[in-house]
Amino acid sequence: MAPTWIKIVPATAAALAAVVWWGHREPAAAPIERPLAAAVHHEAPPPNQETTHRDEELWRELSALKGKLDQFSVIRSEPANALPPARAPSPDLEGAREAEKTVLITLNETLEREAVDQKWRAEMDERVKGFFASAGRGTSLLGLDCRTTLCRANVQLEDAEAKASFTRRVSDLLQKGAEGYAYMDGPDDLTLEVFLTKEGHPLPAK
Amino acid sequence: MRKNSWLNAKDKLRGLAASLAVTLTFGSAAAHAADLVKFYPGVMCSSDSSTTSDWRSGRMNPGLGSVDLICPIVRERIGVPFEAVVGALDQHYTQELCCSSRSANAVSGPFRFTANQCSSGTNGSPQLLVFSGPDIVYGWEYRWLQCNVPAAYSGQRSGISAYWSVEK
Repeated sequence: MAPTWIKIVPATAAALAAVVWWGHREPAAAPIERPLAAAVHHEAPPPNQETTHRDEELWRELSALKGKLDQFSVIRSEPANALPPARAPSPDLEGAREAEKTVLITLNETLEREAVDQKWRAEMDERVKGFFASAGRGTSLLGLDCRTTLCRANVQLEDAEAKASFTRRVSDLLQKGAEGYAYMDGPDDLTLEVFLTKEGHPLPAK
Repeated sequence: MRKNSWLNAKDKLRGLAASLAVTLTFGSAAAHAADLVKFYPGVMCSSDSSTTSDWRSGRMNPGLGSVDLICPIVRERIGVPFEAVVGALDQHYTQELCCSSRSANAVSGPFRFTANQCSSGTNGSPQLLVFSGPDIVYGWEYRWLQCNVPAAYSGQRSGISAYWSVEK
């Protein structure tokens, strides 16, 4: 049987060698992102004889980060109009005109189909004529046709001022809970077709 | 034990009172979660005539004659039921504050309108005028409320304090 020291000495030597190797090995290198050439600041590390390889790596990492920070600053300082402008849709004016003409045709057709409710016609006749009697200068009622749930008043206005005054007050023509529609060919048209519904009867959707 | 039941009853009464207050405040215009509700300060109403604006009382008429106000509504939905509510501050003893709900398309020609809703009597707090419609069918239509505000009466001004819209 071999003496005990024969076993202890090699084991101790191996352990010492391992400790020495561990102390002098290269530190595990963290993956360093390669900085963009333009982003790196070419600042020399401070001269120091004791600067190690690890210090140089850290210095390069710091320079790269500074470079990136500068890039972000440039992006933030760029004016907002450098971005592509958002494009707003343009109104389909011709489509809008056609839609209004369709509404006018629908209302006229609805009126023509209705029978006459004499009671309601008399009520509306009094109401509408009373409105025009106090409407003031430049506002004339050319015709009034009331049926069961719908009336049409043809209105002539003398000028833009009379038109503005009429359109402000036009809701007075309606009974409570009713709706109205004023048709004109454009902002300069002084001849209006005004449709008035009976209480509880909304305008046709189209 | 008796105290606890008394406290519970008190809490229930408080809850009931709060519910009642909310119901009275919003009335029939109560909105549901899916509704698109927008609140506007009265100062957003504009006028050709001389008016005053104040963050609390809204757009007011300081003059001796009535003034017309146009209160814009930002529309987002079409083809859905629409409601609007106006907080009308009417401090005139004989005249009323009346509004109607209106819509027009971008061609600036034809327009739709509702009947007037008017305040009733004189009140130092806003009265709620509730509107339904008119319907909007075309994508470029916009909405507004058209109001007529009575003159100041003995220094007391009338006007629109706030308004809101509900697109269902």
